[in-house]
Amino acid sequence: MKHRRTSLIVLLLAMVMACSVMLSACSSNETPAATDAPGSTEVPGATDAGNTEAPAETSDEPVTVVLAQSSDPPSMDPHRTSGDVGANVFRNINESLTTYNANDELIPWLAESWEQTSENEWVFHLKEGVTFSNGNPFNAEAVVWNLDRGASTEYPRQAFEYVTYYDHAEAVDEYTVKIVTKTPDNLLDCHMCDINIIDPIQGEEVGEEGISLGCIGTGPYVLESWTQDQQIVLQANPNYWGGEPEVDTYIIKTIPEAATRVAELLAGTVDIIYDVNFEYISMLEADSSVRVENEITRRVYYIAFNTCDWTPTQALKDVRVRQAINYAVDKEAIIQSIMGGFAGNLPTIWRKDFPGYDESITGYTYDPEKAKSLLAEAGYADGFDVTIQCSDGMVPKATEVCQAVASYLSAVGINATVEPMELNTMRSVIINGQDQEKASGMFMWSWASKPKLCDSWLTGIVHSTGMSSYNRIEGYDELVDQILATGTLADRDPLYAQIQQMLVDNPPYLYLFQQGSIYAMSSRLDWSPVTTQYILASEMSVK
Amino acid sequence: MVRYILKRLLQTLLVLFLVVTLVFVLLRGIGDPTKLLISPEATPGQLENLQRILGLDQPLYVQYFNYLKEIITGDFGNSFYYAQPVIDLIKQHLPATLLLSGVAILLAVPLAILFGIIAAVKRNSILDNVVTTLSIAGRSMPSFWLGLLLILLFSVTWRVLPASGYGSFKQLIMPAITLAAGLCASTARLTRSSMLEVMKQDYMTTARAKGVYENKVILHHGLRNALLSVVTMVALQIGSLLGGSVVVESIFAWPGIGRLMVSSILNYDYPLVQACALVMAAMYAIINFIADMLYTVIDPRIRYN
Amino acid sequence: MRKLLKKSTRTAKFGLVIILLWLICAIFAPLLAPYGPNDVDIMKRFVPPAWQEGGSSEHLLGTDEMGRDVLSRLVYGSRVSFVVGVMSVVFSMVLGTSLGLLAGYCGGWVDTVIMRAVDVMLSFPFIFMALLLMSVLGSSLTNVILVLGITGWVPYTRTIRAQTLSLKEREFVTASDTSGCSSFRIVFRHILPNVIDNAIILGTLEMATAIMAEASLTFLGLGVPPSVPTWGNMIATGRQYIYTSWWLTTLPGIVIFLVCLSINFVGDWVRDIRDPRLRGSN
Repeated sequence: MKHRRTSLIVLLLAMVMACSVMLSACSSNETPAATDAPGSTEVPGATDAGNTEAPAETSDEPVTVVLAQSSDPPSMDPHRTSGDVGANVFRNINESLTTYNANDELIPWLAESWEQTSENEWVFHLKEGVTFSNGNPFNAEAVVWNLDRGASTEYPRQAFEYVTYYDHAEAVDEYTVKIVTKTPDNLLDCHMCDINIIDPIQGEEVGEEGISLGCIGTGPYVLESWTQDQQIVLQANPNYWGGEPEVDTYIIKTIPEAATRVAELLAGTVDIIYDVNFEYISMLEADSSVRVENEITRRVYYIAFNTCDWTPTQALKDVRVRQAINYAVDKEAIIQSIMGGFAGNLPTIWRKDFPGYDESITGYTYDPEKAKSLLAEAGYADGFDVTIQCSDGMVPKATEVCQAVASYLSAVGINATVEPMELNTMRSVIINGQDQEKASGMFMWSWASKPKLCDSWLTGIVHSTGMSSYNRIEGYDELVDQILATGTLADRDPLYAQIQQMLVDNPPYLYLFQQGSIYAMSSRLDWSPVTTQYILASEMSVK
Repeated sequence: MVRYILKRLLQTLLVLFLVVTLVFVLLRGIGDPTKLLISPEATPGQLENLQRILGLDQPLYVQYFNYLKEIITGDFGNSFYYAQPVIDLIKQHLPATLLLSGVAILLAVPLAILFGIIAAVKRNSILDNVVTTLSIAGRSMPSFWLGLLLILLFSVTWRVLPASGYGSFKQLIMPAITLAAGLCASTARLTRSSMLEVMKQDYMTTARAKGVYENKVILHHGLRNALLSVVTMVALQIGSLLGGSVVVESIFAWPGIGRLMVSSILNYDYPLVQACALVMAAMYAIINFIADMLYTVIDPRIRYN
Repeated sequence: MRKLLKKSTRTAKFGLVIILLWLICAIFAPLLAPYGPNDVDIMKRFVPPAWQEGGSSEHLLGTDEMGRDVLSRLVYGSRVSFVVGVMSVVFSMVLGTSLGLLAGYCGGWVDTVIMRAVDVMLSFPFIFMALLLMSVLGSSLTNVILVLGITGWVPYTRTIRAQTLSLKEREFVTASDTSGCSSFRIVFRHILPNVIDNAIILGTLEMATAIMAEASLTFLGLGVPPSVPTWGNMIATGRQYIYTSWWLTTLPGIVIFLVCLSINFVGDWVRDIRDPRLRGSN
């Protein structure tokens, strides 16, 4: 009897403990940032699945728009987190000194004007009368603090391009910032587009960790709450210098499964989704509550040839083999069938908006016979084995594209095996992994840059010292060095023409295409995506 | 009794320690997490800098002892990926998993016991065959497929339930059913066979001979023994329930600790993986302990000393 | 043999038929499948099954996102599932049985160590362990088998240990050499044949678990690479297209379900037959 009573008591205690843990955990299911967005999935006006009609909003009721993304940004610190998933959130809260408009032109944003006063100095004149959403002043001191923070070596930071050149910045007066560089940076104004300006006073108060949970910016929205892995709620900033935006509440939901995002859009619980597989288009277009649009992005896909000394596929060192591979693959068919026509056919990796784009260069045609004869010439009439690494996390449908490529290669005798990898595994193998020698003979990669900027391509993937470069083909290093050393853009033009021709004659890559992105949105939304690829709620309104 | 509890506590601590060490060693074999925390355009200098910041440039045994020291003081460190304290992340995600698992158990176990008893009592009848077949079927269905099927039916075709998310009751239904199916099936089967075993025992025939009512016999003796096995099974299954929730959480975008665990492994987020492992092991130990205590309640003849 | 068949229940018969079909597919895959498993045809993506609108008799069960024939992939997939099922089970069975015997017979600190290891393995979900190991080892068929084998030994150890303990008491009092393990080679010859029954029965049932486990791992992205056609792979890649091409996820799932069901039916039947207590009951 005594035993039974004791064990009962112990049991009860254990259960009470367990229950209280559960209950307390349930109730504290919020971040310290704010109140709980009431029933996170309730969007005023949206009904449950089954009713695809979104009711019309009157101008008196709060307007809410919901975006669905595949994941949360890992932190709310715009200096720390790179990637679109983060940018789609931050660019609503923060702004930078300059930005791009729909025509890919650099325009003023928080800076009104600027000039490069000498080789190593730039001066930016800031907009006056702007405050952070908490009322703190936006001024030159704030900008200096941000630039220093972005260049910090004490904490992990995004790889901002300006940091390579940055020496220091000074506040000349309240609204003038002088930036001093170590070596001349002709494109500093473009680089300023990357760094979001956050409030230094709040930043100092909450520290590095606090900023990860929420930062204060000058933008049209404020972070109201962040329920990890579920949604981020932004509220319109009534004091925004550009005028209060139309959309009052902007919710960014995390829905990892693509199919589920489509379902939620059709059900009316989500208003915008992007990176949609084209296979859904017919289903989406059949529904009148939804609209589909597409954009060609600034990201270019290619399959790199590993031409390092140790490459597992020595055959790739022969230029004829690499040319043959380019002839063997029918790019247009891949674009039409796998990408549904939603991709841009480029002759090389040189984007049309790059300086010195040469229209006359047409690149490779689909010619499997020529491929076979080139292979035979090079001594590989019987083909050879090669592995193509890829990751669906880096490039949507990477596996499918590579498998299509593999089947084209096998038609000319090359035995290609596709090796899909987890995104993180692939990044760890390729980026700065030249010494570890884990990269295979071919791997699918992509690169992007702001409009008209091609330097990062040259340094990152073409030059042999690039972190993602496995290109050891002779001639490229000298040409790239020459280009980078040439001061003005005008003088570079003939060199640009030269390198484009080299890209065709001596290809370091199997050229694929420029990525297209498909957006689907609720018909009640008056908004179209822009190639800057960040989705800004301030540009939206509801019909 | 107290001595027993102490002994269990020590055993649990030992197991937790082993778990931490095992996970620690395995993680170092995965790869370099710093490459994932930095964008592809970073320079080698920035990479080394990050390694220094995260403490990864120190020799392995130093990292290990530092980690042990920190755990003992309750500092589980910051996630590499999220820049937040690991404890906060776990606290945010744990309730979702507890809710899902809790509801799944509440759905599965009572139903399973009921079916098991019915099947045992009406042995070899049609009812028994149906229950048995269904329970084998439940065990043979991969949970992710069941989940996808449910989505196909209820979200795509009939559009009555939302396909994902967390927060409303409707979103709980499909994930809970998916998770409960396997558990219900195995438990029903086990209840049935335990009951059958018990019903054959000599003391049952004795009780019947004495004229005690059939139902009372069944409920009193049979059920108690069946429950012992059921409790064991559920406790054992907690491990796989938490594991099964990984897949279910993926499909239904349920923001629980299973998903956190998977993404932390994929992100090479050492502190988070280690903490998740510890939390799981601790939960398992607690559940087992509760199970053992339940034994003594169900059957007072069982004693611990 | 005939006597056995007579005793078999309807479900067991059903199970045996399916398993036989599965075996035939696995062995004769190239003869049975109308196409190769990796015959890509990007012009013929997402052809629905023959009985649906848009389907054709060329592809009875339709095609997938790379234009590969679903029926052929299902047939070839049976090979992999078979190999995974059998080999990982053999691995865990050998590992688990040996550990169980050691723990049960030697007792003492050997037993304690092994049981602690069991506790550790049980403390966190198999998926967690498997994911970690796959991350370390990398995605490949061999690694999946290895990992499933390494994580699957626990059920065997517990059962065999329990049985060894009772056997030890019962029969070998005279042979009990107090120096512990020195006589274990002799005992292996006596205890082992008795426990192997249990191990094999457990093994048959665990095969279904192994097949489902491979499918789950692949579904989460850390299992067999997509170039190898497995049923799990087919579901994993088909899941993005669930709204537009339902057959890519449903059909492989049905196959996994049927195979696991059959294994369970047969396994249960075998266990029922061998278990003297349940034999000849009302």
